[in-house]
Amino acid sequence: MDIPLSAFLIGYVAVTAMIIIFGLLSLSQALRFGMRTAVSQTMNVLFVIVTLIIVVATWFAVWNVDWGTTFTISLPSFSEKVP
Amino acid sequence: MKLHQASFPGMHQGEVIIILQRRHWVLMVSKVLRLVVLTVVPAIVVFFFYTYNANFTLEVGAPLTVALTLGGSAYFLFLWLLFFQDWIDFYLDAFLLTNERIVRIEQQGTFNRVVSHLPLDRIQDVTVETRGIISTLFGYGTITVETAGEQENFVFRNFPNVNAIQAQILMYAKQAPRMGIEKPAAETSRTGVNPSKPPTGTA
Repeated sequence: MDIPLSAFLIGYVAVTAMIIIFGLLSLSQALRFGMRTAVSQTMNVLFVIVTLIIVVATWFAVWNVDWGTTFTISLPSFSEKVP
Repeated sequence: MKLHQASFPGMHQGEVIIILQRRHWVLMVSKVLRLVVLTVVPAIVVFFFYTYNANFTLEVGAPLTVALTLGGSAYFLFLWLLFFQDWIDFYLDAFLLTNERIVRIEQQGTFNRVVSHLPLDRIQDVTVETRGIISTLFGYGTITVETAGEQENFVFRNFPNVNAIQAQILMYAKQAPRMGIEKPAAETSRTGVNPSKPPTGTA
């Protein structure tokens, strides 16, 4: 089965967007009720920085990829007789 | 943060926080360990595939490499989000003792939050319980505040300094009836009537 790499990219963007939106909502909760302590602020900044590092590092790893290339997954054929 | 700088939603004017306590940090250790293990495991799996499977090669720009990079990135983002959720759940749970009441703040997941109040003059007894080796070693336990009337008991699990907290609660609870604690401002503003002021208007 051939899957174009662009499908992986679309899936990745969708999943990442959901994770980031949920993370930002959590962040707003932490800021709203976190009593604005140094620990709370540090954790919030850390969350944003680590998320950015993961996303940016991923982008740098794949930015020059030819998205038209296909990724072949060979599924086992159950009709074949196993010797 | 100093206690006089602390505040919480619904705090009354003139209310003073005496104790602000969060759960014991040892509870976060298991979450950190989980994060570390789940971060390392995929790297170990890929390493073993790479070492023991001659057909498994990771070339820059190859479809397999791209798929693994994107999948791995989404996986690590999910792990990091999960850890952040755990931290929020841990950090936003708090026990507060003020000069008027006990406040229990319970964060349940990310978007559910329960804040309960217990006026000091309703307190009947405070029980402290430390069970097991780990809680004894690290010095945390359960505080149960028994209340007067039909109101359910206030239970605070896995909090440190339980004996000091118990002593403080009992001390302030003893003083409470003599201090003549006023009704919370939130209650008076809800009904629109201030009981401390006589009603005004034309007869």
